[in-house]
Amino acid sequence: MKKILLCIMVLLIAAGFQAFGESLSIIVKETQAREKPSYLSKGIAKLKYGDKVDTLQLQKDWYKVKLKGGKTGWIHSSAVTNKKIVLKSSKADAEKYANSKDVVLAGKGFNEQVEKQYKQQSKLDFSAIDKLEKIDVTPEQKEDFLRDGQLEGWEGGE
Amino acid sequence: MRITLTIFALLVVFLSFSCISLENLSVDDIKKVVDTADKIQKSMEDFTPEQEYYIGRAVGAQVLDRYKPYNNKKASDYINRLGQTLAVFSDRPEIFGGYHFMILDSNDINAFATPSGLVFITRGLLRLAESEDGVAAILSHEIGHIVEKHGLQSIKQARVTEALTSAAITAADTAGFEELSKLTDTFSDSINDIAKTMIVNGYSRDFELQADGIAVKILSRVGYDPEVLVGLLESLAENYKSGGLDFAKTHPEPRKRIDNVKKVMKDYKPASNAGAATREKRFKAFIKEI
Repeated sequence: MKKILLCIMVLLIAAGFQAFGESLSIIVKETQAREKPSYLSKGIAKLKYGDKVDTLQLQKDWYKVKLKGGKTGWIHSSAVTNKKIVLKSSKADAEKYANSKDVVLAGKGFNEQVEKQYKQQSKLDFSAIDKLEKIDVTPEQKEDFLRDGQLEGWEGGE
Repeated sequence: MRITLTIFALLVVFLSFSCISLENLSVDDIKKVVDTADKIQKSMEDFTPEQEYYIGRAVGAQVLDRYKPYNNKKASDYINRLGQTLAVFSDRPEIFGGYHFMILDSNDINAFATPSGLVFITRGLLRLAESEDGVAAILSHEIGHIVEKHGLQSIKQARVTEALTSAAITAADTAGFEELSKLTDTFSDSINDIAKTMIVNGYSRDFELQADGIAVKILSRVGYDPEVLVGLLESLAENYKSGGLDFAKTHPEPRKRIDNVKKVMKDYKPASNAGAATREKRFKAFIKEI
């Protein structure tokens, strides 16, 4: 009976993680919290891989989150995870969390060091890829592009 | 609500039975069961976005080992404004390193999308587009491959299991030489799997149809005419030489894709013609560079 109760508690705790007020982590290299729930809206805070945000509200695919300094902003759901991100992991962390479904070890598996080794072995040139990744189109440029072409500018959801 | 309660009750019963049955096993037995189950469950979905990013960069380097970049700033700016705007309207607008688009200096008719959001399009393919809507259709199709992680799905399961369960899964500064070497071999094999599928053999017909469906969705959301994808496929069909080395080798016969696109299009409203003149003007300026 105790085991059943324990299992029920585990389920309820898991369900609780879906509630608002949960802490989410940024799962992309860099993103912006925006004034409104739209990619065409102005970026108000830069967020980096592993940064944590507390959610306040979910509107379609956008989370309203609390930012440093008491401000609030909107982040798209594809930029966050409810998993814990360990940015600098020790060997003990690596052993403990290597197969965890709830923890992301930054730099685990295929990482910068593996790429470096692969570069040496394959003799492939990554310089054009590095250059390509620097091409970033700003929200203002995207908005101008849509407006000039009289495109609809879908605001983050149908 | 009743369904939810039923599922909840079933889960409780299942879980309690699972807990009780574990009593008859030793700790080592349980560990073995968990390890085996874990290995079986590992799939490409378990790659972190960061790992996907490094895979995609290396696949991109493989593409550039076969094709030269087309260094034209005006054309590159246009393709990135268009492509990065389209990506925002996909179901996966944020990707670890962002979406980036490169024109390849080749008369081949082809395009490639790596797992991490890098899209490569040849000048030969771009020349088949007759409007901005046409270029948008090409790019949206490639974004579709990224959204659905088609590249990652080309990695052989044995390598995925090895990459995600091996003892070499450690942070960079904790990996020993042997672990790093083993992991690099798995990485290299994985990149070769993707490059072979993407550049040499092509994706399955189902993946191409799926990417077409996503292209229609993106085009429609942005306000482009999805019908243009049909025109583009017809144009590709005219240039399709079975047994050819580029597009024909890596894509199914375009006419087979047209019916699918027409079927998907029925779910979306037709685009308005507003802004066509401006789009025509900027497309002409772009295609002049191609």
